[in-house]
Amino acid sequence: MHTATYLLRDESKKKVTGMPSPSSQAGNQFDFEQRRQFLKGAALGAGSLGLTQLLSDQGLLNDAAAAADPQLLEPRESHYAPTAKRIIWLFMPGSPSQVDTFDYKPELQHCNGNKLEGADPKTGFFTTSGKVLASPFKFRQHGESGAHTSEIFPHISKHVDDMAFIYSCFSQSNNHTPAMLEMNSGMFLQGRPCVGSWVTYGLGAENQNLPGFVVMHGAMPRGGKPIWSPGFLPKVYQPTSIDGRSATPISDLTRLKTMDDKQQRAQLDVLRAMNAKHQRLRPHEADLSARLESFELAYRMQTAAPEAMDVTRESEETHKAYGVGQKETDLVAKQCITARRLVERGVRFVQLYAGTNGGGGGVADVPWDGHSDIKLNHSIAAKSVDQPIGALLADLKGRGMLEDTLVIWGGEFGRTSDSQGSNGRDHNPNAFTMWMAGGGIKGGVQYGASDEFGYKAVENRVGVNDLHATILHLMGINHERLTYRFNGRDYRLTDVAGSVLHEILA
Amino acid sequence: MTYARLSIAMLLALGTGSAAAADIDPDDLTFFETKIRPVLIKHCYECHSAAAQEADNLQSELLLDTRQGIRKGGESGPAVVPNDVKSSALIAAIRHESFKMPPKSKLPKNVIDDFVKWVESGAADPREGAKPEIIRKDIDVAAGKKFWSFRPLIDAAPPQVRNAAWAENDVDRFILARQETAGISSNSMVERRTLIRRAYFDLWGLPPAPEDVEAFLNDESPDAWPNLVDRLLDGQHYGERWARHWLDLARFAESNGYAFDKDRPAAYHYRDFVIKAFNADMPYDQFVKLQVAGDELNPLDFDSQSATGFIAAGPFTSQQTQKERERSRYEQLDDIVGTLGTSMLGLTIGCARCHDHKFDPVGIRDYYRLTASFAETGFQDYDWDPDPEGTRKAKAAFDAEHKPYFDARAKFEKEVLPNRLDEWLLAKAEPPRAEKLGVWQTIGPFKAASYDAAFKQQFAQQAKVELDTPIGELKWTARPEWKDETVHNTLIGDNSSNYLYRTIEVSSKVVLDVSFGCDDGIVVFLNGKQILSRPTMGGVAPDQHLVKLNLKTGSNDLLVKIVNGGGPSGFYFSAKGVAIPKNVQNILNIETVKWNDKQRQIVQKWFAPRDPEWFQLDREEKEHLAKAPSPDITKIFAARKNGATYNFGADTRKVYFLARGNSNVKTSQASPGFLRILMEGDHQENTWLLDDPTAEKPTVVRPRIALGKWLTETKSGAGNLLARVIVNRLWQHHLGTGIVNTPSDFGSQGTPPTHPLLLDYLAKQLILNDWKLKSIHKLIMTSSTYQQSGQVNEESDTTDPDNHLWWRRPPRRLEAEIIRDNLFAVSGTLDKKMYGPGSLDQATPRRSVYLKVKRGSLIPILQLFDAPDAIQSIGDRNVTTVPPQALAMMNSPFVRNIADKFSARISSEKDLTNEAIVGKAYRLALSRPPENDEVTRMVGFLNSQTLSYGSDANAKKMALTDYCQIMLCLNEFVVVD
Repeated sequence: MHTATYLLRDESKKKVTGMPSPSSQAGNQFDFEQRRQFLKGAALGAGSLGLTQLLSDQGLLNDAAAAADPQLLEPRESHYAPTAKRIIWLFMPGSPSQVDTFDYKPELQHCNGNKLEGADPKTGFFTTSGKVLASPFKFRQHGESGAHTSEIFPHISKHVDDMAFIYSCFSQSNNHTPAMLEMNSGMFLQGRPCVGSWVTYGLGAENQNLPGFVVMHGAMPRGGKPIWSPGFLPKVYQPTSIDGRSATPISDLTRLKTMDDKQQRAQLDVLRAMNAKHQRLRPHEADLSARLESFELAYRMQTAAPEAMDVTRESEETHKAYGVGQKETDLVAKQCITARRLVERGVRFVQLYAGTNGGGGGVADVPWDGHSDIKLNHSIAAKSVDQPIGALLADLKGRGMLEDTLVIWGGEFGRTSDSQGSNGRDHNPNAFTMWMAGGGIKGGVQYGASDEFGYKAVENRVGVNDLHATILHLMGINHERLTYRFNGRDYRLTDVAGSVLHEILA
Repeated sequence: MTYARLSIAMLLALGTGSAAAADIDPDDLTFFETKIRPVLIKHCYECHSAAAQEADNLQSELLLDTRQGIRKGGESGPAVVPNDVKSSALIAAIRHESFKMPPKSKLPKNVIDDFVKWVESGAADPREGAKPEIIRKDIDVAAGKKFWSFRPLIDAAPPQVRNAAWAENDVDRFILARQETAGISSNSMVERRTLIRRAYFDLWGLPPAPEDVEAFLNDESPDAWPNLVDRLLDGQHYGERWARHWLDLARFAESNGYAFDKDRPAAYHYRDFVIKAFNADMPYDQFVKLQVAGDELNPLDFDSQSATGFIAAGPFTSQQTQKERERSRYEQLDDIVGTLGTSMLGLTIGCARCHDHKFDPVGIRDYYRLTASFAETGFQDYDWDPDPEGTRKAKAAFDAEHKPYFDARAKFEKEVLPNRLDEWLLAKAEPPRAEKLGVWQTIGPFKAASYDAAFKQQFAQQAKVELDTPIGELKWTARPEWKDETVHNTLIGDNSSNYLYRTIEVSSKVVLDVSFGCDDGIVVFLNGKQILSRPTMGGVAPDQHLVKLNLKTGSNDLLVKIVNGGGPSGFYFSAKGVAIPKNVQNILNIETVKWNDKQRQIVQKWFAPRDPEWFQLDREEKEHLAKAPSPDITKIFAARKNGATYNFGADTRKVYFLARGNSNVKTSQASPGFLRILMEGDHQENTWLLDDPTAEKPTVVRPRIALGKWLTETKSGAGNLLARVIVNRLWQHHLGTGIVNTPSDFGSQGTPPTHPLLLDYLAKQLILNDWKLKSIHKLIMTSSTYQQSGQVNEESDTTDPDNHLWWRRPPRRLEAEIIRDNLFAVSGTLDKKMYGPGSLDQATPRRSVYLKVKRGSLIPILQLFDAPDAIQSIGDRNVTTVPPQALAMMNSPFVRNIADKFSARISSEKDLTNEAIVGKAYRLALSRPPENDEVTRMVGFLNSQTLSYGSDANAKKMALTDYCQIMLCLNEFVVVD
């Protein structure tokens, strides 16, 4: 009913409000009826978790989903054929240092302690020394592509030939929360939808194989849930956030202890009958039918969802490979396995905030934030993610999933090449490295460059809008055509900018 | 309609000196013609040339098609500086280091190298042109004013209708006339039972009590319906319900948002103001004026200060890096102007921040001048004093009373103290004591099961000792005989504790060194805070534990717990004194005769507390001072001229025009002004900004006060649009959608009104009724249009499936807050307390409008049902249906607990049959009796569910709760016809 209401509002616009329909002649003209049908499905099905699809894929919910709204199963086409069907975004909150991870700068070693020409001591949050700080880690080349990586990533390094490194990233904010908001939503302010919500909005629940959006975390990253907000998009595009440390990560998923399954079923049977009667008198109110079915879906989720997230069902070899049971890696290992289980079952977008607080300036909500001791901080933080991520890449590859699963790795900005104090590094929005793998990414690519000290991105600079444009492109979405009208303005994830990085595409 | 983008015209100024092509080295010329010019033509001229300007497509005021143009550059400075690659913005742009040009794809590396080479070797350029002179073509205000929403209100007479009997009032005539033209008919009126439920939820957001329903059904007065509407409009719940609609628009919250999300504990007064304003039917124009400038209009008035919470409510990033501050200030101002635009005027003003509005006649000039109206505005708590005059008088009286105390000490300091100091200096004695130690008090022994238990257990009040209160059998006893610097081994009790207590008085904050001895363990508390804990067993001796006591001015409480394992027990105490501060010691080391006045003053100031007589005088003065009357201050989070905001130095309270909204590229300073599209003439703002525009030196009115006047001025200001926007919102919340279906966008991108004359009629009625909203509520609700059923008739549905002609009033799902309020109301547990600070706990049974809005911890149950996130102005909520909502209704302890309360409510009377219980539940939850099949089904469920719990003593109760939960999950419970 009201779901349709806001669409009616869209309908009256001549502007693009979503994907052009395949049947539409004009590329920019948007087929309202289809969109309405699509969103009706989305309203019911996308859920916060995309669990509906997830469970459909398991054959657990097919009947209910189909009964709810036939439109739910109707495929909704992307702008063009996607190379990535799903995304796992490995977000390192607090921000790893590019020159201590993947952006090898021998000049730093040569000039350790010297004045860094052109350094701005107010680049980051505090004040830096202006003196070059050599990386405390050894670098080595790997694979056929010969990419340099730091010794803190022995497992991840095995996969460099599957990765495209982007050495020339930059962001607009030198402060964690605004920079995380920018990395997720393209804007350093609160209130804009994050990329996962945009993708779910764009591709929606049209295809039962294309699921929703999940965020996994340990300690809540700085800025909290607003970092992955659906902004002004309808709340169906909100991710479900799962605290990997919690025994009951999804709220209210467990039946009340006071009743057994039969008793709850009896309740729901009466509810269903009464709601059906109510709806028969109001046949035009589509939302009533959606709401009726939502109780049936919820009922089935109670058993199916915990299964999907149950990593104990994995083999011992898998556990061992990811590092389950090892103190340093246990949490991220379980999260990475869960991520794989979720995308395997059709969840489209998983974002994982990972890293054990390494100290040395890092704190729980920004574990990679090595202000005072980069060696201490990054040794610990990297240890917590290296084996699990390495195993995830190997696992995806082994299952043939890497080719259509896009894996993204990075923080919200980089770190300074000059020191903060004697051994730390401050925030640096002017240069950082991200890598992507799978899902249509050309392996072994090294794109863009920072200057010889890794201080500023200088060659083929890549802004967050460009990253987003590329990610949407891989998902088959033209970033200039994915728009949403809010308070009188058509918004895009990429605002008025963004170029697809064709050089890193396979 | 053409609202022109920013465009410029280049004037040819002939005869300026220039280097002719002939002067250029032939090789350089060839290089330019082969390597540079073709690239410029192909990739740059589309947006940066005279032709682009002709086509209205010139970007960044940058012309690259002449030598003069390329060297002058655009908004970012010279595009090319010969022989200076670093200063040439063009090079940075094609390298994608600053802008990314060309935007579509980067030029090949060899081409970029060519450009670098060209600049390095002098940038030879034969393209003769003119010195480009920029003339800005502004937005077309005159054309813009022709758009419907910027026109004056049309005073149209209600049309004639055929079915005059159906029309209850003029609203219906506007509606019916169009339906008759379209050949469709309206729905019939809903039955009274449905109508009262609709009215209660619309106006109060609460269900009608069964008695209210019955009373309305039996009310035979022809005015039964208008009377009911009046009663609801007069009720306090009306303000609570309608304030929430406004709070959505005001993006109201009680915390900063962003990292750390600092609370704004005094922000809830704004929410209370809105509730009060709605309940009091405050004229809407006044409501608007107070929200933009209440602090300046009536600075001493509580509600006026609170009202400015509207502009203060936006997010604020308390953690800031230096580089973010100025940008953040512009974001803050953008939030204010944007919120004001969408909520009050239905205009997306924010678009004009970077460029003239593409669709609406709002220019960059308008944006920055409107923003400049807030240039000096910051936000902080205002200390509101209910009786400032009384406070002033009380203070004066107290000051007079206090003077003798102050004078007595001063006199002593002048006449006696210097001699006392001299005496001490002559005697070369130890420094006298600065602290005054009270007599030891003791209580004990308290026995415990073991030594450890005795050590851990708290026997006496440790936070605040009450000497007059016995503890069990034991009483506090004074021990004047207990001397310090002596081991006392007189305590008794195995596995027990004794407490010792004394006061230590000092005249200023000092650190006192003390030492303890103990047999066995010891715990020490200073002013209720534990400062030492040593469980080690052993005999007592002097100076076993050295401790520094951080004493506050006045009396301090020292509490010592001595814990004994067995045998004798005892303690030792010694006050080592307050160390002489270094600066005083330095002076004391100098011969007295060599002291200057200042040094003497320092020593005397240190010495004073050590003189018992001064100590006493000082104590009396301070004790009296403590009795000073304190005004009854309430803190209100409000706007304030020069109030707190991001600070970045001299420009903090100025607003500049920014190129493309970038705070690093300022052009000129902006002065306050308003939207020209809603004024007559370019400088009409002076009507409001100056107290007397015709005077020789008119006084400038505070810009926000002027803004409030302009917003509400119907003759030549924004008042007509203001009225249109608010009456449309009222219509929207009563009928489901607005007459303008984009309630926060009355611009050309919004939808036009379905019934423009009706909209203007309502706006006019509002203004005629002194801007009182209740008059419009009544007008709408007493129309037949509002009272129609939600049924769909085939004929109308075929002609007008989207109900643009208002032939039905569709059912609506309740908003999140109302669903939650309904749960409490139906279960009989709603706490109707109004106003005041709210809770973050969703289980607090107050109405949802009183829950605290913390941006980082939004209320889960409200979030599930689409409550806004309080970041941006929301005029029309999304309504979604997702399984997590069902999970919360089925499985959350929150809902289960409500169901439990509901079941207790309907089964409180003795010996009710299940039929009667079911009937009660339906009347409470759905405002109607159950139908026969419903009774059968529900009673059947109650019986079988009771059986399923078997022999459980609570079987019946649990089954009843299960039943009540079903009632709360029904679609009919949350969707109101």
